[in-house]
Amino acid sequence: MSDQPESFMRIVIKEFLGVGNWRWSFTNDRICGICRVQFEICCPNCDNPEAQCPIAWGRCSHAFHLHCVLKWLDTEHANNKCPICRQNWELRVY
Amino acid sequence: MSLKPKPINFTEKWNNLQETVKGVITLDRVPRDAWNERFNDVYSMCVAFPEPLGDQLYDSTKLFLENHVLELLTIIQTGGTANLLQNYFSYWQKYSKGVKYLHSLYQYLNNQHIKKHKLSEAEVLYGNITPDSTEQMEVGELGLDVWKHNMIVPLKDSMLELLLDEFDKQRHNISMATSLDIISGVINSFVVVQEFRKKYPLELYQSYFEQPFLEQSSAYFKREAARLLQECTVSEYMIKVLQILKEEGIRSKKYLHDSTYNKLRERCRQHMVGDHLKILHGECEAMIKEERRDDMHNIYLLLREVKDGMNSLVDIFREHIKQHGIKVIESLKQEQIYIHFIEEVLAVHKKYKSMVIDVFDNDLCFSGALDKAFTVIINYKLVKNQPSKSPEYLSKYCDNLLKKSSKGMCEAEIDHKLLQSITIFKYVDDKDVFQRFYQRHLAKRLIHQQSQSMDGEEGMINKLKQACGYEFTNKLHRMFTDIRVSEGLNTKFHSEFLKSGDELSVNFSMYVLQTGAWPLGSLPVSSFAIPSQLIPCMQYFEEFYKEKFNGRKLTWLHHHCQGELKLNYLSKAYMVTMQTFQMAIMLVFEDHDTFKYTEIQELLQLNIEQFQKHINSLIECKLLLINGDNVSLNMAYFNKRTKLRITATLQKDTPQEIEQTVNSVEDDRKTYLQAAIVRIMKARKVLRHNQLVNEILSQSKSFAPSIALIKKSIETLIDKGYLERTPNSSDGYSYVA
Repeated sequence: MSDQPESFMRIVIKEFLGVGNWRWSFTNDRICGICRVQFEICCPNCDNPEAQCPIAWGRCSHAFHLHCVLKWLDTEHANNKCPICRQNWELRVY
Repeated sequence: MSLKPKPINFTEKWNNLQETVKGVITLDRVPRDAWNERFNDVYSMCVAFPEPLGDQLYDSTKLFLENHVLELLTIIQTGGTANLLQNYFSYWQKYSKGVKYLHSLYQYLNNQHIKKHKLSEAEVLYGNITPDSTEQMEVGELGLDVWKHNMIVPLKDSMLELLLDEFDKQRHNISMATSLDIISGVINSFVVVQEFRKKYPLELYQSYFEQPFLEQSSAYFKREAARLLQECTVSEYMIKVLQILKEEGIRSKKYLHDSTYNKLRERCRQHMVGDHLKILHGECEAMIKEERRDDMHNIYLLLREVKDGMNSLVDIFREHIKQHGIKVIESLKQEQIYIHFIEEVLAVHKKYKSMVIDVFDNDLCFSGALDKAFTVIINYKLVKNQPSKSPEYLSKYCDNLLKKSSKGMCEAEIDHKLLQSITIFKYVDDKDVFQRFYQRHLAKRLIHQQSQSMDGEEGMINKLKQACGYEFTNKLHRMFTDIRVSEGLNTKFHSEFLKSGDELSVNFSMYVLQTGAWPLGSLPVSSFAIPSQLIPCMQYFEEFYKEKFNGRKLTWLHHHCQGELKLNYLSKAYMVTMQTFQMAIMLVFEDHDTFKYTEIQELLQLNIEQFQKHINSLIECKLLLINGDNVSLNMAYFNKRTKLRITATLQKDTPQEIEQTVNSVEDDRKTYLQAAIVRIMKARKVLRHNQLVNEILSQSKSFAPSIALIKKSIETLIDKGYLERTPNSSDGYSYVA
């Protein structure tokens, strides 16, 4: 059908405005375990909504905003553990 | 002439000095050399040898002055009552001036002899020592003191009577026998004779004149009030009282010491207003109901400085606005009710705002009453137990203004109306509900490219931000960001696509949105067989996006997409903008004119709800015809315009959507409250129920949580093990770490 020249077609799409949304494909969690904000949205420490706020996914399969988890790891009692399961925190490379 | 101390013959020197003193005190001519010589005599007496004669000089001077004043007193008394004030005043003028000169003549005595013995200022003000009468004063002060004891004290009663009589005459518009400067001069003398005193300098003025004067005034005010209330209406009474207040003010400024001004007006207010509050308050309701502006202004002027006088006026005013507002809301036309609601409520607001400014001098009490009344009006529940509709109406109102369709209004007018809607917004209790509606409306405007202008949209968001803070508009900002980022993405897509040499048959563009920021629901509403004409460009874009953003999953939201179809089968070519599902239905008819209803649904794999909704919209606008089970293309379709848009009916808020919006707010509130409670308890560890509730209420800005909801949230948290009831008290909670 799309091979036919346009003039022979009775109904033709001239313009299309698509709408879609995106989310991270590598995790089933929708929100950051620390700040409880959706991953598609930057963490509360980023003032600018356009800021690049990457996601950090641990080997323990828990995911956080990178900013949030770094802030956690910086605290005294973190001991380099995941704040949810207390396993050693190791970044999974994707 | 030598300054050396030497023996002095006091009697001889004093006789000389006395002559000069007499000249000075009566303002007679005193030759300069005599003055100089006497000045020296005072010095030499003070330093006399073998014994200083200062005390003796002081006593003699005092005695002299006393005798002098007594002489004057006799003259004044023989002058008769009619001339009393006049005579007193003229002798006082002369004497007070003379005393000043005398003070200079005795400078050495003042500075060297008397100052030494005098109590310091601090001792007088803060010590327990009261200066006794035998203490020596500087000569200027001595002169005034002598005048007080030997002139004012004997005359005080007769002078007071005369003075009060004069005031009485004036109040009754009878011409006065004595001129202004004499009266004020006499009264002023009461002040001046004690002005040098460090402690209670006004004592004499107050006890000899002010107190009796105020008493007399009080009696006058009481009489007047009683008389006027008998004779005239409350409106007239108020005018009269204001007049009297003004006159008394002027009178006191003219004749009396400054400190009396407030006391006198206070008396007047007390007896003419405070004592008759009941009568005045009784009139409030009627005058406000009838909006008699002059009366309202007058009563405000009268009551504002009476303690607790204004409360009931303020209450009645608030109640009046409230009733008016609710009446307006209850009688709104149903069609386009949101416009009527906002504009008529605004009209009421404007009316009373200007009343507060013009009639009540923009008094804080009254603007507060206005605010309170409007909080009630705007959050008024028309149907019991149902939330107020105002957040929804307000958002719709803004939507209507920001949409392309608001033709015929210039930008400034739209801007003005938006600014006014902020006035309403500030009164809305359920700001979070408004936020939800606004977000939905904004989303629709952005996605369907319905915004009048992006500047207008941003302007409005900034206004909301000013009124309610960054957090409130955060999500709205994100939506803007998405649209802007998507525009860049489209440009990139097209330029890369051009390089590949392929060509797209469709003018394609795309909005890619952050899932959390839009109130759209993140899942597709129905299964859907994408029309073949669309497949290539969608595929290209998906590939492009995957390459650009690794790790992101793109989901198409077909029910939000739209496009433009060109219809070639009719007498003229039409360009019709419609939504994807409508497009897909139309495209089915490319090869055949007629299909079975169910056949189309099967072809498109749409669920029944979506299919019905969209096909009905096409039948409604006559692009398709339905005949029993058959749906066919309307080959005779005609419209004057060749460019159409048929999405409008689908974009309207459905009742379900509205309900959904309200419900989603409810969920948000629960989450918010739980978070707030945990935060508070984590900081406080232990709190009583009421304290906790108060803290929560003070924290939540975007809505007013009901007590029931707070209780529920606390229960939930106890169940979840965040809190527990404190064992020993009946209504306390403690935080479980």
